[in-house]
Amino acid sequence: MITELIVALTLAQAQAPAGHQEAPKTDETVAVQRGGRLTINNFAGEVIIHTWDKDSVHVVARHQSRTQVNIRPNAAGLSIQASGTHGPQGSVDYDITAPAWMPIKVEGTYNFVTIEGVQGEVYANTVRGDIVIKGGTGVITAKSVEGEVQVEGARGKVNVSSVNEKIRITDTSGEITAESINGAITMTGIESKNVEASTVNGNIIYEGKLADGGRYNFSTHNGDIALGVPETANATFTIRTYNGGFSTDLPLPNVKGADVQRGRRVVTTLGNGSADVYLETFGGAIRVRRGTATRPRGREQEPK
Amino acid sequence: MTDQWNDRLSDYIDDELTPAERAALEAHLASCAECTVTLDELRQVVERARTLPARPPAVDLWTGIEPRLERSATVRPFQARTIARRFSFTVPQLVAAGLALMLMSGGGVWVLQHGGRATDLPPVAANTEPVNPVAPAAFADPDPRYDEAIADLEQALDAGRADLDPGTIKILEANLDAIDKAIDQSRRALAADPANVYLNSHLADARQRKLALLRRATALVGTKG
Repeated sequence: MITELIVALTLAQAQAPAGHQEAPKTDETVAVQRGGRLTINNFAGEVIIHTWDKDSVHVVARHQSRTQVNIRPNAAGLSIQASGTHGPQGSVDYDITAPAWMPIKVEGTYNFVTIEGVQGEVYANTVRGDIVIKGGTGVITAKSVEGEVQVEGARGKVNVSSVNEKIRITDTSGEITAESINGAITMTGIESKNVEASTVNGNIIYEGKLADGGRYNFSTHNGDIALGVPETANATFTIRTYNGGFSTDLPLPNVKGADVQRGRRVVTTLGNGSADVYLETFGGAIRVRRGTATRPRGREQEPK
Repeated sequence: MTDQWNDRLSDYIDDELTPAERAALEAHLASCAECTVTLDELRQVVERARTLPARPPAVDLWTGIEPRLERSATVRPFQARTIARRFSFTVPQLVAAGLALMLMSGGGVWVLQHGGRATDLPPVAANTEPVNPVAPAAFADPDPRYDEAIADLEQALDAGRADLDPGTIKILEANLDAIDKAIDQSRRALAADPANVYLNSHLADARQRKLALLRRATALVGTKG
């Protein structure tokens, strides 16, 4: 996929005279009012967004000479979109600095997105490009069809999906929903009372706390599920697999590997069982481990 | 599912209504689609219960029951009593009803074959579901509305192929294929184990996922995705 994207972007760039990608063609700062939203629509290229404490948006855009970047204040806030002066727009690489409080919405097709430090709502939607969101404290939504999605250090309500690539969420707290079809979902350093992750062909890895009263729902069709949780956690595990198996190194009573096959529902409790953890895979294995989900399987054994 | 006749449907099937009640319920059924559907589902459960083979339960319940009988000092003699049956006919409750029928059938046969005693029994704790509970067949049956929605979306996607990048089409098709395989595997497993609650739920999830992906794909049409 990356190769195809590189070819596509290279072809787009090749249409312009050599050297046109090197100098910024747009460099503009626009004052914004609190409460406004920054909306960026970029057909192809890259969007990088940083934050600062000024009530203004600084836009640096690199693009072909036949492409015009339109930065327009409107009733909702500020809109940025490129257009072609002769035919379709080419690719545009944006480096934008926005107020940390400003909600951000980025959409595009061949579009790579990196957003860092936004404290308001973030929405990023691409077809063929990766999305990286670092920090953030509001509602965070990131969707890609063919790109990877990464969320790091966010606090808020995180809703991410990638159809064909992996999802990685690290050091994040708040409500988390992650969905993929062919991609794996990896969540590490999670502090949340509500996590839901589902995929068809990918593995699911979760390392984090299980908060008392929390709800954790992990399901895959062909993938494995690996959980790394503190031994001191209080959780009720509801486990089902059809063709897979179950193993753990935690003191989980009343569960044997064979019990969870053929779709049987097996319930077992750690501590006082306060959190509800649902683990379901049709064809994969389920592993619940102390601490980390990904260490070698040396000490692991099927529960007696 | 909450009208006054809902709780009387099982009495209707058992022919326990008075002629006046029966006539009133039949008049109600003529105008209430929900009750009609519920009645059909209930009949399916009853029919399945009738066709259950006489076999011992998958789990040997007697080993759990017998010690309790011997330990219990408060076992009361069996007293015939009438318990009002209350069906609300939600799907989970239909499943539960099916489970109960299965256990009664299998357990009853086992007890008869092994000389058990009739008595009031304390509940037997179990932390696993039986493999073959009786679930409504409607779960796995084709849903014409779903099929229609899928067909419409596939048609829209096909019509908009020219608007999509060939690479994106390839990816979308590969992912739809992955979901179709998951649906197919779930269906095959269900064919062998039609009452499996997990498989029914898993199949429903996979079908919803296909619908969601097709919706997302058709939304890309026109965006040069």
